[in-house]
Amino acid sequence: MANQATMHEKDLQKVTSSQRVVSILVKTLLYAFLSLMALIVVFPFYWMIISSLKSITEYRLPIPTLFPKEIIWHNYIEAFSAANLDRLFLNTVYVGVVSTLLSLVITVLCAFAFARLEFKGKNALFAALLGTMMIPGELFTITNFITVNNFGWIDTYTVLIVPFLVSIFYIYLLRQNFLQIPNELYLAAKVDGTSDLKYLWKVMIPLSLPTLISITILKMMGAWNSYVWPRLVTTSEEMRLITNGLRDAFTDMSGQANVPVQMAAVAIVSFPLFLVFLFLRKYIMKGVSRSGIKG
Amino acid sequence: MKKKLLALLLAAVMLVAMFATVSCGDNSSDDDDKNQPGVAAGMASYDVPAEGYDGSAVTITFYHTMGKTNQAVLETYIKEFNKLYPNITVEHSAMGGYPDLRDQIKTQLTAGAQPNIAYCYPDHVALYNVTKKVIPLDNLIGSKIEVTDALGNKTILGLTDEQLADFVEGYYKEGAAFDTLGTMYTLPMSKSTEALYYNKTFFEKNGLKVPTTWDEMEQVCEAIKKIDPNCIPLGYDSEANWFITMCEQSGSPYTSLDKKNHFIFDNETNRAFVKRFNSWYQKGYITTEEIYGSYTSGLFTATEGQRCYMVIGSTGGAKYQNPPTVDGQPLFESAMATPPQLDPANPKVISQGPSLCLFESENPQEVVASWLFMEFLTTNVEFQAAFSMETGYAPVIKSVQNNEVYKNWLSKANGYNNLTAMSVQLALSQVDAYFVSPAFNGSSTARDEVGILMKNALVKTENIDEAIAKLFKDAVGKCKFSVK
Repeated sequence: MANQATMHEKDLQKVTSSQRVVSILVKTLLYAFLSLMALIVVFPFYWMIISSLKSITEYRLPIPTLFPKEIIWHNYIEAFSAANLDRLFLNTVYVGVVSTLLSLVITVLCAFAFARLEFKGKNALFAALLGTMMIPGELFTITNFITVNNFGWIDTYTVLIVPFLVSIFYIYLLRQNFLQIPNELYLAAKVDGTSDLKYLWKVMIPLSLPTLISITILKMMGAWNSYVWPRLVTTSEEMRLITNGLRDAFTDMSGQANVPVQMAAVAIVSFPLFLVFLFLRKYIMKGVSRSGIKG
Repeated sequence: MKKKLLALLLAAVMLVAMFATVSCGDNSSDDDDKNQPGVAAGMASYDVPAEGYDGSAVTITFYHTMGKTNQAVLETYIKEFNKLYPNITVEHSAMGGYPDLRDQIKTQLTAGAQPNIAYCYPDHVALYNVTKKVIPLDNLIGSKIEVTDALGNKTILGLTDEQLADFVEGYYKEGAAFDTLGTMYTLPMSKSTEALYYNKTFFEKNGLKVPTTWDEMEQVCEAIKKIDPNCIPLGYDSEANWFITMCEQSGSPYTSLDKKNHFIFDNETNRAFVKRFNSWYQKGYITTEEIYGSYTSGLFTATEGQRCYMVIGSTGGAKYQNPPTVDGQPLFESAMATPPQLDPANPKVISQGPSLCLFESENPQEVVASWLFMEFLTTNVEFQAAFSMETGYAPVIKSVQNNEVYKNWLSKANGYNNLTAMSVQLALSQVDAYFVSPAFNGSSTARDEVGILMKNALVKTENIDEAIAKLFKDAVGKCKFSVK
């Protein structure tokens, strides 16, 4: 029996050590894979930084160098002088902040109406709104352009902010969140004589804060990255947003771009976003996973 | 039940919307008469207001692709223009690259929100002409209505005979390449062409002769390959330019204004030159921008590794061909020549660079004011000189070459750090060799497709004849599809 027990222990030890080997192997492979993926993700940023520090001749070498032979800081100064970066920044921040705030107000009120209030045709209206999500936004570009042109909004902040204030997707997201809040809270608040708006402000918004933060971040990122619409509706350089400015400022008449200077400008523009990601990554990741879209 | 009904209703709405969209898109028969003999490509004529410019205050908008430094020159001369016409306010905007500019105006035309003046290439105007909102310039050019500027000078609204004669003929003719009537839709603004850049130091050291014909080019490439087996002797930046120029040099068809037969580049002569260049590529003699992955000036100015000793590229990009420097000293001397020809006695080089077009406006005074500004930009010697010096693009009027400042600038051309001036000298010296291709709705697709064809044909290694024939057939097919 003793002999049998020893055999079992030996078997157990064997199993444990083989499990350990497999576990180490799996972890090694996993980390190797993750490191590789991290490198792939980081590489474009690395390339942006080193390209922004190269001379144009070095940048155009047939075999690209992995580190600049001579660091050209001047590219950053030239980036500021070639593009009106401060104005572009200001415009983008203004449009981003105002459109996000207004969009939040609209989203919260609409979501509350669809989640909590009872009115005729509520479901049909909600279905119709959801139906608009089936139509790609690009299809509206020309008609929207004609509309805003008739309103005389071209080349104003209004045209950059107003047309995209309402997002059905965000309303849907928040409505679903509101629906998860138990009815009892609403009824109890009503018994206490609370108004709908007070209930929304005091109960629903605090409980849905993570979703609202996600919406804020996604909306801000959307405003920062938008390209086609601002390109179309702004005709003067004073009204341009950062994406358009970066695209326009560095290409000469022959169509060739001074890429190192352009990369320096891209690096400057990316820096605030990098900081935002650094400090708000928890919310961004939550927002991304909650909304089911990538950033 | 209610939900089912709603779902059915929504599905019906979607279907109706889809059919409506499809039927909206099917308007291909609208332009059946376009590009036919005797029919204008766009708006047929423009009635110039009898009073000409009445001095009223108007604001005109001008879209272009100028960078900041070029805009500074423009702004200086807008001030000069305003000394003559103080009531005309010119607002100008850079719209990114040429495709951005084209797309912007294309969209704005649909809403009637187009600018008054814009930089343009013939392909762009052919596209805009679909809306019939591009002003034909013939009546404005020929207008004898008297105009008095703020300084008291009396002149005519149109172009004088001297002004007309001053234009470089090849550039001016580009404005009439849209229909068989020769309706003028554009005036040239500043022009570039293609040049052969070569490493003069290397050529002199090895006793090489600068090639003037494609046969000589083949010999030179062979010789260079023997000297430096690791190099690619020649880089050609634009595959499309290469194909189109070869068609012109060969006298073989490329495209035509005949709507029923726009795309006529699939022929024996063109297949033969493509096959010839395929063999060059296989021997390692050439590369192109698309194959190399970037402008081939990167190879020309390389300080290490693989390099090339000749580049055929735009004169507008001459500054990128300046030799690299080490401790402030250029590593070699660059030089320029006319690109190789099939018949050097009858040279053909492509004409590029922006022209200007005018758009319809509700206020006729805006059109006339825009014309005055357009006329100023294209015929003012000081502006043309200053703009050429800033951009490296050739002026479009001949008298600029008599301007002292300009002459002085040209005299400083050298192959070490001032290839720009040299490129303008070359561009000016080959003005008689310029050609332009017909412009019609679909000509930009033809240009794109022959570029792709050229690139794909060069890299084929097996069943070359069949492969090239297929590439030609595919390219023509895609072009035809694009205008359906």
